[in-house]
Amino acid sequence: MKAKESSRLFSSANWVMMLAIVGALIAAQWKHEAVPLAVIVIILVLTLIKARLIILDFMGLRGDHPAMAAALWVWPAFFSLATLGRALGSLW
Amino acid sequence: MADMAVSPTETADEGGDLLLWILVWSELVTFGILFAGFLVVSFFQPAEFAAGKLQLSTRLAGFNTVVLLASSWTAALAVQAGSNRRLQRLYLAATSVLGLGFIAVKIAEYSAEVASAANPAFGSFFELYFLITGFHLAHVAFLTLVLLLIALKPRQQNTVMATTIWHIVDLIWLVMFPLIYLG
Repeated sequence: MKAKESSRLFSSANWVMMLAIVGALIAAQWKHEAVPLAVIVIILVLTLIKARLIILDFMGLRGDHPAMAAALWVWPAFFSLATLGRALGSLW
Repeated sequence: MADMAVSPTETADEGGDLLLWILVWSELVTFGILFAGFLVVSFFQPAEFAAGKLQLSTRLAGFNTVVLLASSWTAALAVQAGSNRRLQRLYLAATSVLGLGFIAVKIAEYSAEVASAANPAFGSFFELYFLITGFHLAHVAFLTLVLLLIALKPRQQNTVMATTIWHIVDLIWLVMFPLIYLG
């Protein structure tokens, strides 16, 4: 069980780091200029995936406290939607 | 009746668990209110906020995201190290070092941005920017110190509590990055 948890954490951490590096590299392409909406959407999706992996594997809530894990994930999901809404609103 | 007996250790664990989740949610609610305030003010000052955002360094912020996520990984490894105190100490120290790295990058970022803060062309953008990111930075600095102290004499319960809050501070940064720097 311990080995399984260890390998899951390693796999999750690899994904999280890879997504963070990809997100940082994408965002770095727009220095002191407005970031296009499509890029914001991509980064928000990456944010939600990273948040999910942190909650489930880094915090150890996978299979344990499912309601708490879901509630914690709603928080970044809500503000990611709000960020998207603001970005869409600025277009009009 | 015997079935209903609860050991003092179990009661203490449950109490600690409840306290931890209360702390986690109070952090999320506090930052949630700050984010909501930022969104509301940005709605009333769209041009100022759009101009203010362009003064920020997405490169440094993106780099700091990677640093903070790496520290979250070492924090999770510290919990997993469990009874191996030497390994746990090593991972906690690594988390603190990465936390210090985050603070150093943020200070470098602030030094470039502080000149723009007094410019009225950016409305309330920089007041809210420094308030929200500064409050987050204070959390990182405090927890870095706490993790360093725990690393001196690690105990599993303390490690779990401090690293859980560390993950929450990481989660808050993940949301803050697109909200303040990009959106």
